[in-house]
Amino acid sequence: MPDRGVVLMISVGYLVVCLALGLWPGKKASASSQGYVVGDRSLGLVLMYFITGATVFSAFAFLGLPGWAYTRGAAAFYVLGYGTLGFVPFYFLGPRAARVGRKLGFVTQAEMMAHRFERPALAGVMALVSLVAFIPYLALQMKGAGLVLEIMTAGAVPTWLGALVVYGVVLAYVLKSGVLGVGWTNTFQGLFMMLLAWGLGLYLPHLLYGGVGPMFERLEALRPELLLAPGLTGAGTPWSWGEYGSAVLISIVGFSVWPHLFMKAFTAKDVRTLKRTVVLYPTFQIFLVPLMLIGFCGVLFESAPASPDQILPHILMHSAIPSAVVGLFCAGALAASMSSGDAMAHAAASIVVRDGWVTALGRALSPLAERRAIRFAVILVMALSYGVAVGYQGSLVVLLLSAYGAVVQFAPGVVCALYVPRASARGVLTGLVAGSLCTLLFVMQPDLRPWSIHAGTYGLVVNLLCIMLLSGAPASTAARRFVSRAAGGEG
Amino acid sequence: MASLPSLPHHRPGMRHAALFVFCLVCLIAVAAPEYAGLGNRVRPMWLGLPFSLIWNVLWVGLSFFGLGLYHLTDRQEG
Repeated sequence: MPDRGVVLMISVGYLVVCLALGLWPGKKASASSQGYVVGDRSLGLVLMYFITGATVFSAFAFLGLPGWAYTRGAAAFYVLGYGTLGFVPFYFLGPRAARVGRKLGFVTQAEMMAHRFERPALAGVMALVSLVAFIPYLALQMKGAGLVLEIMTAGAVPTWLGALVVYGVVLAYVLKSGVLGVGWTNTFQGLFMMLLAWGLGLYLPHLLYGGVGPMFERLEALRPELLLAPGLTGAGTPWSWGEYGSAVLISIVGFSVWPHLFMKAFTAKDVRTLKRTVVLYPTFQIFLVPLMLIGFCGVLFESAPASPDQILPHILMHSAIPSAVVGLFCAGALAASMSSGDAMAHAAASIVVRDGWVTALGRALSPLAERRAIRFAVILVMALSYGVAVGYQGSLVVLLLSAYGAVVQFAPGVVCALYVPRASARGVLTGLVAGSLCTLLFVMQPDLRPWSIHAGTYGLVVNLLCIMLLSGAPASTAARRFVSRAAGGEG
Repeated sequence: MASLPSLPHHRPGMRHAALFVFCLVCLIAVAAPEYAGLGNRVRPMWLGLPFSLIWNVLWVGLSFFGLGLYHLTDRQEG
């Protein structure tokens, strides 16, 4: 059993460093919403790299992914599979969005869409879908952080208290420093996570089985089905290639249009930085490999955790590992949770105010009032998510999956906004709603699917059909000028 | 890019087509059944890892180099 005093000391020390790093840049940004939401469009390559990388690696990386490898084996490889091309669409969409963003003052994806299609309601619908996605996601991050602290301190810090303290720190630096606070802490947290993941991923197989090679040789002899794609389902039956391949495809299509990631197109200081961030992104993906190794470690481990997600903390609690290593893991899991949670809370609040209040409802605010409103919304979003994290007893994962499916449906509209002047508002809005509903239907009722492929695939087909069928009229001058501006022309 | 004289940066159409084909190959390699009949094997193990995992890591690496090359020959603001 690790010494809980040491574990707590390291965790608290880590939180203090994050708080200091997060509060420091608050002095540098301008007092407007442009300063708070997009850092005055000034972010360089290092901050952009870590902000996108660390945002994507959430509590899922330290808890969910090892859990997948532990129960579903090679099914977990799909995360690497979509990492190959996941950010490539952004290489083309990002610079176009950045150009119109700079010219027309956008800070969120939905307000760009509402402007292009001259339909404020579109911003409202996108804001709503984004919020439905962000709140359970944020709640899961909070729950993850709280759970890790509870397990690693053997119950001394209950989940509700752990989540409260960790997200109290996040709230403080998001409120004070906005996107720059998120950027600086994510840089530190990203580096810390990378080091820790590789350290633990190589150390644990060595400690338990004499190395990575001997571990996989034993797995090959005892559980060979775990080493071949597409791996297993959560229930332990073989997963299908249709599900695996379409999950990779849908994740690639949807990845770039996640609102909190897409918004980062508006934060980069120039197009060159944005493109370089995309090129470098796969290097961040490699850090998932050691976390999968930890999951595979668990397969041969002498005892099983209460749930697959707890395999990593379970191994640490039941092996002869120095308390300091356990403490560092705890800090790493908090880093993963916080580095996604902060970006989510910041993006969700910006979306509520900019897309919901200002764009969809047409209530103009002064820059200072807007910044105040966004800060207030940060508190609201985090309080709501905390309430869901500690109070909601239903399945957050189902809620999250439904919302994920809907967010993927943003993709055709965003591509049309930036590339296709003929695409109509009616087509994009109908496509978004019909595609989301179709996805929701098949997420809830998977048996109704004609073929066993990812529910989002059907939604995308419906979405694209709606756009094509309802975009017959010639493009308006405004639409042509918008697309031309996005492409770099003066329009 | 003076250091890369042989790359087709003067012919954007060709660069786009090359990237498209490259992405398609990547997609087939990581998402098609049995990883297109090539990568879904346990052996040979490299660095102690099963080949199926190495296969995915390899394509993550290749996509980095592929897009990197495209970016190096990108003359538009980049």
